[in-house]
Amino acid sequence: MINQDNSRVFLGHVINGSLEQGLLVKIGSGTNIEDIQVGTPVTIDGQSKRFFGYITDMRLEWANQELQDITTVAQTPEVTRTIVETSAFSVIKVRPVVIIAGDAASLLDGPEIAKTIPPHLSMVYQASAEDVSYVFGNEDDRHIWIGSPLALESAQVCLNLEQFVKRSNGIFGKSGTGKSFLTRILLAGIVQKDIAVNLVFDMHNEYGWQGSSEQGHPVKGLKQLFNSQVAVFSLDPEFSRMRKKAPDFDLTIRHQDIEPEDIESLAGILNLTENARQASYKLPRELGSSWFHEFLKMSGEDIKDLSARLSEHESTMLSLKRRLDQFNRLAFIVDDAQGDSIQHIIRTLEQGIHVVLEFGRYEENLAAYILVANLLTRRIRRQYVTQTEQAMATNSETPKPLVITIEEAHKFLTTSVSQYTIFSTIAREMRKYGVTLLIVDQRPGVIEEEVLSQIGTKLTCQLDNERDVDALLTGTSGGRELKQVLSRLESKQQALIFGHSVPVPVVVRTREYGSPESYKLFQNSIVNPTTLDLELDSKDLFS
Amino acid sequence: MNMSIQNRLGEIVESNSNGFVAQCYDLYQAPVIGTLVRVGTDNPTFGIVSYVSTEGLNSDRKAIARGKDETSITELYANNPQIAQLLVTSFEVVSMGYLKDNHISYGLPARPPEIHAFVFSCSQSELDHFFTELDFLSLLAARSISAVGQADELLISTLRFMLDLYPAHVTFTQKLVKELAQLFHSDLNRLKLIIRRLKL
Amino acid sequence: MSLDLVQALAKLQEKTAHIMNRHSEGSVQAIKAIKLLSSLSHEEIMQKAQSGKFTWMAAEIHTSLAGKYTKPAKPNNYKVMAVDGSQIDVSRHAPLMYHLINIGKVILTYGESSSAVLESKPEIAVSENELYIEDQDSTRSVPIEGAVLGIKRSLRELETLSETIATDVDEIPTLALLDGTLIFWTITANSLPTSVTDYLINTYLIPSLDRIKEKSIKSPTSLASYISSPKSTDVVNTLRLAICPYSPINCDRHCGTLNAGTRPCDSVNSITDQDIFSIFLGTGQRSEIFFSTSQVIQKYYLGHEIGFFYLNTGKEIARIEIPIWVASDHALVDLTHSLILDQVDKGLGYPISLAEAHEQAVVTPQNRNAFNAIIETMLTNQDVSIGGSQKSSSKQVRWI
Repeated sequence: MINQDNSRVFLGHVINGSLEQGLLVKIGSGTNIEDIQVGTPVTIDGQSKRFFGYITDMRLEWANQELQDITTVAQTPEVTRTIVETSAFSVIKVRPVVIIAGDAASLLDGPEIAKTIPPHLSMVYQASAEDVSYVFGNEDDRHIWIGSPLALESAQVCLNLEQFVKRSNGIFGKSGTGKSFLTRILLAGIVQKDIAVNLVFDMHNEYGWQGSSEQGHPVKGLKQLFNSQVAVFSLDPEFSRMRKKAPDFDLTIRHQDIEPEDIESLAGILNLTENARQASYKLPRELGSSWFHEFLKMSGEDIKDLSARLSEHESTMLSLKRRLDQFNRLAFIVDDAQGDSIQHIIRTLEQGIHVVLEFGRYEENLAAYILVANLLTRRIRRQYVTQTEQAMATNSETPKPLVITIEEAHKFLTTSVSQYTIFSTIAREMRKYGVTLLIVDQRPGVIEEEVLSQIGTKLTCQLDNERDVDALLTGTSGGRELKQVLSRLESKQQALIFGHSVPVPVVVRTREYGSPESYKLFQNSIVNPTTLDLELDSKDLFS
Repeated sequence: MNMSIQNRLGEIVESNSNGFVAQCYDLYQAPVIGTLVRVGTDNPTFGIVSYVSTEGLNSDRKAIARGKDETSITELYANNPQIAQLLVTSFEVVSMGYLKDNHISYGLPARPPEIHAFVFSCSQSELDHFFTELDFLSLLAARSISAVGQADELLISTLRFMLDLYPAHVTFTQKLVKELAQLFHSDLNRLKLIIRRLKL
Repeated sequence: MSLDLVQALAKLQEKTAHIMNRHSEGSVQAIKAIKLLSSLSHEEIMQKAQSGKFTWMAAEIHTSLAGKYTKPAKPNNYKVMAVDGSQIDVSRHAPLMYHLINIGKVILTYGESSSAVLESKPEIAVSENELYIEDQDSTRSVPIEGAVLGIKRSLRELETLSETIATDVDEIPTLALLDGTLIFWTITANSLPTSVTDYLINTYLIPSLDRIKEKSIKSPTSLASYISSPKSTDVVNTLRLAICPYSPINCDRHCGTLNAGTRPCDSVNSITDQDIFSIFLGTGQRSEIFFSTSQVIQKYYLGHEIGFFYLNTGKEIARIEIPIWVASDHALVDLTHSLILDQVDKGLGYPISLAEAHEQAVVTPQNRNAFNAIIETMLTNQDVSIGGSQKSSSKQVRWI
């Protein structure tokens, strides 16, 4: 088949299909089926409209099944093939998602959802770079370049960050598939475009300062790229010093900062009984604001008294104390004498400075992570709620949107315990108060269904657990086809992006992150570049 | 000898729109079934030999067995020299196309060739020209199946003739096979028979 | 009501019973005749014949009566030429007065360079001088039609054969064959004016025979005619003379008042020569050579007197006639004998060359009708008024 248009790769003609099931495209004789990949974006030139979609499936067909046994007749494979080729053909299945032009030449104002399909024999091409940029936009002050689509390295798939941060989003994929890189790109994009302010619960210490690639090469964190725009807080200053990267601030949690709700969010991980959870709410009334500290100091006798006073079973209280005792060993939980570092973080965020909270050696301590994340998030949200409501009342400016990045969400957003966490609340209330989540996780199938359903845009790398795949695609338009695409992602650097902020689901090879060139692309339009630090970093890199 | 006489295969004694019958000048000297032949010179008609027969010159005289005491057929003919004069070999040709303005049109000629017109064997360049396209195969296939007592022999013989013309030409073979496969897509038994017979 | 087959069959049985009777009587007579043949000396019989007066056409005998000769060897390379003819007689109803003679000619060469020529040549006579023979002695002309056409045709066959032989340059043994008799007795039997008879004899017969004889001097060439299942009684008649009790023989005087069947010589009255030789000759054998005493020979055939012998071909007894210059040459007689047997063998009972010459010559009714139709078309196109009776036209012409 001749390429009618040299700049586009012709794939074939529409021969069959439906809006619901997708279109069947017979591929041209000049095209090798093996060169086509599921997930590749395509355009379809209809009679008066141009459609944009992607390949969801492919299969081999026979016009005449009986020809198959010609193989028993012909003496040479060439003859067999020649005969077979007169009947055998390949079909790709294409899902048209949007209409990108009223006719093949003139562009519309923007992609429209396809409510119709192109007629028989419409020509199908691999999407061109122009098509892709028309659908996904070009990189600008709102769009971040994520990567390139399949079979089209020259094109850039961009994400509208302004749209993106209006809802909670998720980055998924089993470990080692490039979730962290994707997260870095998005966080860096948010910083670079100044779309929102980030709060990153950096459990594994990879976003603030230097992280590492799968191969062990060091990659820069946000602090290194954006310096003064980013503040690194650490729960484990000693760890930070060992790495010779001093945090901007140490974070300490005062006893009085801990509230019964924080305990409740730990119910799952601490395996608390219902009675114990209920009992914890009675403690501040009885013991005052330092209830946590007072409670953990209590002797066996004291507990007995307390139980009597609170009309609780002594065993319940003893059990609660035993579970909470572990927090007594945490260095960052301190007496009231220390400053209010939570307030410090809030103020930092208010100034538009992005905050990365490193957990240092607590990265293995899930309970500590949950406690801190919950505690901080609740406080911060409370602040945002107040500020937003005031702003609305006075018709003044609302605070800058806040994106909270959390990892290992499946550990505390599971069906059984998520109702007690603040994150579940945030996910549900969406952008109402300008606070959204960026969930980075490897087991979306375990996350509570309702939370997952609130996620606006999903960026997912390879997943090998059927339950995870199904959970992500539930309720998604074209979910069955997307499953074909998702289950065939490569194990590295490929992600399927679908949902709120992309008009068409798309598979991307994620943009390179880790080379000096890649860093420069993020630094180009930094509002207030700290030149000195940048130079130092560059020296570090090249030495 | 003049080339046009040398290449002469016979002379037309019956003619109609579908084809013609030509009589050979010498007994048993007919071209084989499946051969492409030419009639005429200016706007020649091309056809394919479909049937060869040798029979008594006089339709009411039949040959009888004579060789009981002869040791060989050569001896039989030597001892009965009149036989060769009394028998005649003729061949039937189905028309397949004609040349007009140096362009081959496949199909039946508008007018059948004239009686006594000379039938020639084709030169290599004429064969190449005629077999450039394979559009005549459908007509040939239709004729082949309608030939009484012949299970596609005409088609098979012609294909063999063509393949023998270009023995090492893989592209030609593939083109031919493709054409056949398309032609017989709804009659696979026929296709299989042909492929098997041609040992393709 | 057409033929009543049942009645016809009954009649046929009646007749054949009679014939069967005669046959058995015939074979008795034949055996008697064979005994006679062996017992008589030819000098005695010839003496009797020469002194007697009789009306029988008896064979002249030069040697013994009872000789028989087995099949001689045939040469390896040889040639057989044969001519036959047919005719379309003049029709009073035809649009055009014409006659047509179609001469078929066959030359078969056997041996190392075997080959065959088979051809036919039609001769159409339309003009006055082609359709009539002028009588030099009167103002009358003899139309060439019917029996006269038959004579002309036979003579043309002989002439064609002689011309073919004369122009043949090969010197291999050659047999020239005609169908029927070499004795053109019909020339004298049709009361033709003398000048016409002379014309036919001198224009056709003698020059043709001369031509062949001439060639035969140069290379071994034989002329023979083949008569299938002959009815002739030349030899039987000679036997009649032999057994005649009167001396000298004078039929009119001694037996003129007797009815046939009651004469002394009638003891061989119901057989033909064929009957005798079918018993006497074994397969492949020929008889002695006898000579015809036909008037036409005595009158016109000087130097070309016609002899004959009977030949058991294995299928039948044939009478083979040869001119005297063949009969007197042993080698030519042997050549004739062997080649005719070979020809009959190849022709499955009848000489193949004559059979093919006949095929070439034959004019079928379809041929004749087609030819007449062509003549009509030709004449119509030329706007020549067509003769012929209207009745005939309406019967034969199918106007379209």
